[in-house]
Amino acid sequence: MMETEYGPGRTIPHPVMFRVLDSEAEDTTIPEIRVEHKSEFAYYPGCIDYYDVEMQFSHMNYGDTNHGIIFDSSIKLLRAVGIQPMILDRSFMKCCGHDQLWQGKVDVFERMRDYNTKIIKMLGVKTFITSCAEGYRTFKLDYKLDGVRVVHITQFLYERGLRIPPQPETAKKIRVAFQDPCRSGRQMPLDPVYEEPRELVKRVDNAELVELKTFRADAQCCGVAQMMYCNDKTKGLTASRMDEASDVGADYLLVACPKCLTHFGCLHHENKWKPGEERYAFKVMDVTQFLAERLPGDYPTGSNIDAKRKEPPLPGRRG
Amino acid sequence: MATAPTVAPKPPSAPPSPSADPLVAYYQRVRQMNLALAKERYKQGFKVRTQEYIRGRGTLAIVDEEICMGCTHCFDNCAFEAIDMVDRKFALPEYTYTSRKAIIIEDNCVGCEKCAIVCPVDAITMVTKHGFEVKDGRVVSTTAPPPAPRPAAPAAATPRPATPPPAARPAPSPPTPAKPAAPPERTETPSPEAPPPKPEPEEEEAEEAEESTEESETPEEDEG
Repeated sequence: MMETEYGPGRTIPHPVMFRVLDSEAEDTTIPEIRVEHKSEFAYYPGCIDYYDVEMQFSHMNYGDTNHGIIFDSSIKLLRAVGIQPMILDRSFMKCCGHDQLWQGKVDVFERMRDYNTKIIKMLGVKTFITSCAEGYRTFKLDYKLDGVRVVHITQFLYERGLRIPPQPETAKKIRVAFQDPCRSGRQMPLDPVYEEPRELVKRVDNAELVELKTFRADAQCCGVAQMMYCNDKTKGLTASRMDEASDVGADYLLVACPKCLTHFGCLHHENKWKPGEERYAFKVMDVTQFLAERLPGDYPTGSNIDAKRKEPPLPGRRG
Repeated sequence: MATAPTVAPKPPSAPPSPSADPLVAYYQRVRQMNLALAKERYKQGFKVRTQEYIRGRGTLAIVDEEICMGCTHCFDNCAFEAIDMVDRKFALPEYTYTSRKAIIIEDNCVGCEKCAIVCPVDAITMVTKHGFEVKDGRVVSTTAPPPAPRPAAPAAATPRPATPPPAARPAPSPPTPAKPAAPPERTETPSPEAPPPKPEPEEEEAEEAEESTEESETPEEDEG
């Protein structure tokens, strides 16, 4: 094995997404921002669209895992509690820099942080709502957003008193398990998000909340942090976590972090195409999507309508 | 100008919604714009990344067929379909047999070393491609000197004659497209003209800068 300038281990290609997100930090000139609807409540969707594209590109997911629906569901839920949020979209915001910070690229993170802080201050945001656990931790702890309240969307919906209307009589009882994200749970020294998503799920009248074998601060990780690696060991962690969900007989495994959704969805997809694999018969989805599906009405943002997502996997040697 | 193409894909994708609540229209527009933005940026990132691997690495995998045992690990792990498995025939005086071996499809190999890493018997080694050499532990190109990179010169020659109007070159412009000797002269002499028309050299510089920042990144191995 030849020694290159990066060393032997450096040459495994990492996801294109890292490169895309890193390259956002190169140009930090502030563009001209025209926000059509200004509000002191701002919703930041994060990188969910990038996950969708990455998953499609990596041939890991075809139509199973929908990250973009988190955006749609969050807007629907926020409108249901009477908030018309301003959207901090990715045409002028940058990635929060969580991955860059935790991979040690501190300079890249600091450039992103300074840029985002300037934009948030400029737009006069008072309440910063995010649907991503990593974004919640990063904006709350690693940014210096004085005077801006950073909340996870489940916290905000809980304190605003989201009401889920009674489900139709024909709806059958479902068992719902919740995966505590590391970043907004045990790695969040102040204001961890444990109770709010559970309380919200309990408001769905045909849903029964079941706890996994490990939960709250002891909750096992979904297996991968920041999409940094995927190997047999991380897949083992993911599989053991999903085994816990099937052990308690869950119909839904809810997550509050888009990356947990990615990794669970990836394993779910991998096993789905194996004949005779019946272990993971439950659905994996984000908690916002689960709640928004229980609300009447359509998604105000439209949905993630990409025809490619519905296609079956291409025939290939890895099939 | 873009009105006609944008109107056409909308009906299948999203129902026409300008009649609805302006807030809803705002949310829909932002949503679709973000999705398109992610796709566009991702495409760009993939292009840059691939070029960087193909052009910048300068390494190539070779298989030592005496050691290769045909386990197909490299075949399964190659992301670029640069490895194929073939049956080699071995003829002894009284005995003929076949054995499965890996071969490298050199056109597809980008030198990512993944096959060399997964090989259980270390049958795959990385060598430099033609035109590259190892110097101080780095793979450097032996042919292209830094001040005048090769890809820049032909790219510079072609768009020049096509876009002369902003440039201050009235008299010699008609004969220039036919002259082969003219483009290199121009690339050297008019310095104010060099930066604006070409995105390519800027991209390369950006890539180099990215490469330098990339050293702190951590690899990821994605297996379907």
